[in-house]
Amino acid sequence: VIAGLNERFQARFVETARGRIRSAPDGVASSSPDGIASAAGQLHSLAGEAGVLGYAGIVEVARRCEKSLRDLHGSPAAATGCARLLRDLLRAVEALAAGPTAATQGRAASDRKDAIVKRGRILIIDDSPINTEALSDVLEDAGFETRCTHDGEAALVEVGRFEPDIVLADVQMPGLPLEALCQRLRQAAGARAIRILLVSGVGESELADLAAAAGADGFVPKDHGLEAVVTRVAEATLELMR
Amino acid sequence: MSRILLVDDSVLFLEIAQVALEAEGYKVKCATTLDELEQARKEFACDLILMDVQMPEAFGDDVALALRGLHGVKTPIYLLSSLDEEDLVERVKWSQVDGYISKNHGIDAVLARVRTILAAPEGGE
Repeated sequence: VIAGLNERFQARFVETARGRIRSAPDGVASSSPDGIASAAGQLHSLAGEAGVLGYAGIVEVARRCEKSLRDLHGSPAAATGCARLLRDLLRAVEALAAGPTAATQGRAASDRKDAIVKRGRILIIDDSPINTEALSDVLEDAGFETRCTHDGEAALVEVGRFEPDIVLADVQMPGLPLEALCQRLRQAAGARAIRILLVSGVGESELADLAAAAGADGFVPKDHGLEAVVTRVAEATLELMR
Repeated sequence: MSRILLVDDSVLFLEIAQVALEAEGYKVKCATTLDELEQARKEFACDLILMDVQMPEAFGDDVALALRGLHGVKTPIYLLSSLDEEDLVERVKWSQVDGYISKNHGIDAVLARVRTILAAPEGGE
């Protein structure tokens, strides 16, 4: 029975699982017991769906993820552990989605992308460790070198040390307003050209307005998935090389 | 043909389980909320209730307790969950349900348990 069901439901499972995993950081970022319980509930449902389809590895990571979310209690160390588990969970789901053939094709595409971008350096700024870990992971997999910071002031220091080509900045962070952040990032970069891209789950037109008002070079909506972020970063890296 | 009421907030899970159970010849009704459960109980006389535990509105074991205590439901009720089995054993003890089925071992294991449960006298094992 299970083989037939897997064939019929795998694509739906993968799509549903991606949605559930993507919604988890928002629940955690809300810091409210309801938000965390809702995120944990999403992962619990994911475990059940994976279990009945016989994806034992995904069940195990999803359950660990769910437990770590319920035990967060505002601890930054716990949040980082939870972010790693979420990343592992997303990897497991993507590995299932890729299958052996797609994995080979994906590697070939990734090799070509590596050759093009020449391992560009990406600085990620987001106050949520879960978000920075997820973005960093997918960008590193695609061949970029990344560094993560969790506030604007730390990012200004890293621009001098890490010398990024691209800065990916979340739009909703405490501290420096976006316009000031963009200005000071460029000042800190000095003569080096950098591209600043704003990242957010807000609507695309709102994000475009925010990027224009802040003086950023572009924007990347989160709701098209992490792969879309990689594509946009690769394009921005190419723009810099021209 | 035995009739099974499935209660779970995951639409995807319900769809998978319904397809699998119907392929075995069972008649299946699904409920994703407590309102739908109430409605289903009125419309669908069933031989077995399979109840998820971790649902947004209430825990399935609390719902089962209410079904037994407040509504006098005698139908066999099994918790169907991906929670740790030690946890499920405890929940079975106090909620007056008939047992539990883990979601974690694949649909074939769920079907095997359902067959055993429904083959036993009065749906008990």
